[in-house]
Amino acid sequence: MEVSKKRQMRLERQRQRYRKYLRIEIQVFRRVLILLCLLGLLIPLRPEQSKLEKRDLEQFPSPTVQGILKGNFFEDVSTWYADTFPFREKLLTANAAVERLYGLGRQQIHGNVGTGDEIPTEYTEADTQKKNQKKGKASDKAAKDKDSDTDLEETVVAQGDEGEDGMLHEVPESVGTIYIAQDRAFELYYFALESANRYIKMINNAAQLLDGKAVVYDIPVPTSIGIYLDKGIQESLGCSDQSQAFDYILNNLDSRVRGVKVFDTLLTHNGEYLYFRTDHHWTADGAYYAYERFCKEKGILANSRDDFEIREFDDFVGSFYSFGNQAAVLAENPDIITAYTPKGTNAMTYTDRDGMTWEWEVVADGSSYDRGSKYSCFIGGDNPYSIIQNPELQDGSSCVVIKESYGNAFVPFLVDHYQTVHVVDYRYFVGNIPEFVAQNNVQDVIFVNNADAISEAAVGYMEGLFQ
Amino acid sequence: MVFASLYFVCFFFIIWLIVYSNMATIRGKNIVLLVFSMIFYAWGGAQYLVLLVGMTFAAWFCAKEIERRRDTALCTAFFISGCVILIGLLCIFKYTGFILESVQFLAGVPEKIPEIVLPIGISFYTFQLLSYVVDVYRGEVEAQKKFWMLLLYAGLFHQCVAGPIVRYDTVAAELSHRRARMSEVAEGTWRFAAGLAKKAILANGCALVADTFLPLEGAVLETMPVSAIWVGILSYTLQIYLDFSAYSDMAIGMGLMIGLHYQENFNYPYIAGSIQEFWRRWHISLSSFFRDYVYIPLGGSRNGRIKTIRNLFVVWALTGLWHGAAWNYVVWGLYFFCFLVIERVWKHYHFRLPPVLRNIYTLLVVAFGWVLFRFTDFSNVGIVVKGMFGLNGNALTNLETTIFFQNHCFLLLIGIVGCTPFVAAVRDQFRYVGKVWEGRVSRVLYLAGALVPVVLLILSVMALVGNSYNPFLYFQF
Repeated sequence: MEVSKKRQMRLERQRQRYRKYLRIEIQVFRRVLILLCLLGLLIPLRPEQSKLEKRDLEQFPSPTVQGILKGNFFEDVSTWYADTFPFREKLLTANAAVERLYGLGRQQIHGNVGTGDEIPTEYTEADTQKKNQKKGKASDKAAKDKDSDTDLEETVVAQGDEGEDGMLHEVPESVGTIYIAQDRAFELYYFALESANRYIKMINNAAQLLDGKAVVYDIPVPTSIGIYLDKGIQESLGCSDQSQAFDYILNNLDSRVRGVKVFDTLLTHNGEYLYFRTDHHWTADGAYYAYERFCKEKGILANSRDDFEIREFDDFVGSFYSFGNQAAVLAENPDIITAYTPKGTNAMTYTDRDGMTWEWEVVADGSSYDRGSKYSCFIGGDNPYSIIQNPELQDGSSCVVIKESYGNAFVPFLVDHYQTVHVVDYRYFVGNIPEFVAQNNVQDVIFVNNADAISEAAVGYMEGLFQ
Repeated sequence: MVFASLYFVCFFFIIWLIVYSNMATIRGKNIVLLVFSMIFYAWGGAQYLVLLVGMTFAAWFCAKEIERRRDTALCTAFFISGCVILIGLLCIFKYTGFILESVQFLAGVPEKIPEIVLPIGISFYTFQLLSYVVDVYRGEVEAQKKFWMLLLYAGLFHQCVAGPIVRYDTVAAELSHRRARMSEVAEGTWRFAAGLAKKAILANGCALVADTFLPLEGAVLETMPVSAIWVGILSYTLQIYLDFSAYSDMAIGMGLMIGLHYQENFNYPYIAGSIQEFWRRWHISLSSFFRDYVYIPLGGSRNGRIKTIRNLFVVWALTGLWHGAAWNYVVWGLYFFCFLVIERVWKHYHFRLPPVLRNIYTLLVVAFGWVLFRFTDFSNVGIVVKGMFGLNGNALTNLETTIFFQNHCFLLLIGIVGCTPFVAAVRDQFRYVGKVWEGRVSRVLYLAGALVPVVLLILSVMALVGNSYNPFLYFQF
């Protein structure tokens, strides 16, 4: 009797305690959820832009009758709610840390892997057609992939009202498939025959239109994977050989075009700091070797790097970091930007995409820039049009650089050789280059394009400049 | 609205829970439930709400008339018209495009196929309403007097859009009288959190691997190495279970939180030892629906071998078709029909594999079934089959496959563990410790276990941030 009563009491005690635990379990969960709910309701805390992804976040949609009936409006509200959740970037970073636990991460790949087209030794248009038919859609797909990957809306810096504090507003940027080995990231390169052919045609057409008026230079620039990554690994990743790709392009250019082959020069110097580890751009040192080759082609004497005032901006963590799922190895090994300030002048003027004109510096102080935006210290980032006038020269010499963001690190070196350097970012510039050349009495038209920018989309933009 | 979205979890769900808990009467609670359900449903497009309400009204009206005119000719007439309306509308919205495309393929007409958007959850709520009408006709349940209560049953946001397909009789009583016991609320919380994490972390992670290794474009698929295809199939097999069962977990969890008991929809299907057993463990509410409303009414297995096979054929063709309006789903259903027939023959001749081989056989059959399920285009299925054995001229493996696999190997491993009863067994041990043991150690252990739902919640929220577009796989069914 006594025993069973004791036992009953013990059971009752256990029951009570168990209920207490259950209550804790339920209540903790609910309270945390309520906190999250309140956090979500703190509208002012919601971010409007993502520094990490370099894009504007979703905006609250405006309701329409159609949208409510079909559900798009509500869908957009849900997207907005998630996309602008308070402390989004911190949560993303935390999540990236969790995702690193998904597996072993000595090497990483982010994005889709494809295959490049075979690089032919000779140019024939018909060959392209036939090959595509034979290969089916594989090459098309690779080319399309390539295009969507490099639908280059790169680091464009638009100077807002807060210009004074060096706050940088960036537009969406997308980078292709990223491969990370040790502390360095690469973007995989796939050759797309159709885009290359279109590129060749476009350059040749430019040379023809400018014949007798200006000399066309074409500088195709390899990306870091072609210079730094072991060839065997490149092949095993299905990547195309950039050297061969550039040979194909340069060999098929019109004789009027002065092709500048920088690949071999960069390759021989690949023990140096020519490309960033955490960003898809080249360094000013990489650009310097291209400048040297360019001077040789043009028949002028290149300045020595020692002639310039050298500035360094450290703690740069670029696009590969944000598009490589915030790989910790990259954040822990930030890049240093070395910049060479031109001797003649450091002053420039650019027009932003709203048509506003800004006085700026060829090499600006990048030390106060956001960690991911420091490459914008060169010529103010990507703007539709920039002009640099060198007061040291009065010979009427003038060039126009047609470029994507790789050109930014290259332009400062040209400043000392021309009275006027015009810079056109073909993704944003609206105008006709032959007319521009005639109006401004330009002698040299210089194309600077990285290997990934020889894509359908990019060539399309460039073609627009000659129509 | 999808369950695994920040908006649902951090806004809709918790606000519903707070408002619901503060209602004093069952009537108040039901009104809250109905209002939130209608908002939830309208979120996917207010126009489809008309369809849901209309179909529910048809079912409600027919069932009421069936009961009133019991034993008259009109009773059957109302029964038939109810079924025709429900099945007809389902067919119009779900299968018009499919039927016309097939006709076009064979006969060349019509030239233009109208594009009909599939209303969210129509496959699920139609079946719920259908079971209700049939059960009333059979006299197994009483017709619901109040229309809004039937609307609550059909439109309840827990299960309206992706199951489980709840039978009316399982919840009929609980709709008007229910009590949420504390242990069940805790259990529901656990199920909800576990389901959320299953979807937001595991299923989405596996989906990434599956999409990388089993791309939908044939040209890219051809270039995939052998190892990628096998890992891709594994990932997709994991994804589809984790995804779909996660939805059911969350639905069952929400039900338990308020005292509604839905039928279990999954019972670790991947540990099954035969295809027959697999289908007893997979999407139970659907297979039992077809069993009770198609297979058995057709005579089941009691009318001789030929008729049994015919009945099985009908059930599996319909099961396939239910999953999607395309031929690959029909083939997928009939693929299982073949194996079920084979298993019957085996049984007849007393053929039995050893247990481990039984499970491997089942998994291989099921995993290949998911290949049929994934690719609407049959030529891609051929590419996968050839690719599995290196017949596309594809390599055995390559660097990116190795790297990508290495980057996700632990995730896949956790996914595999998540498909077994292991996690639930560990959880039960914690429960037991908390209940029975005395002393500090047990307290710490139990409290650690009690924090699991919160940890899962926070991890899921992190995973969902920036991942706004995130529909469940079964949403289009």
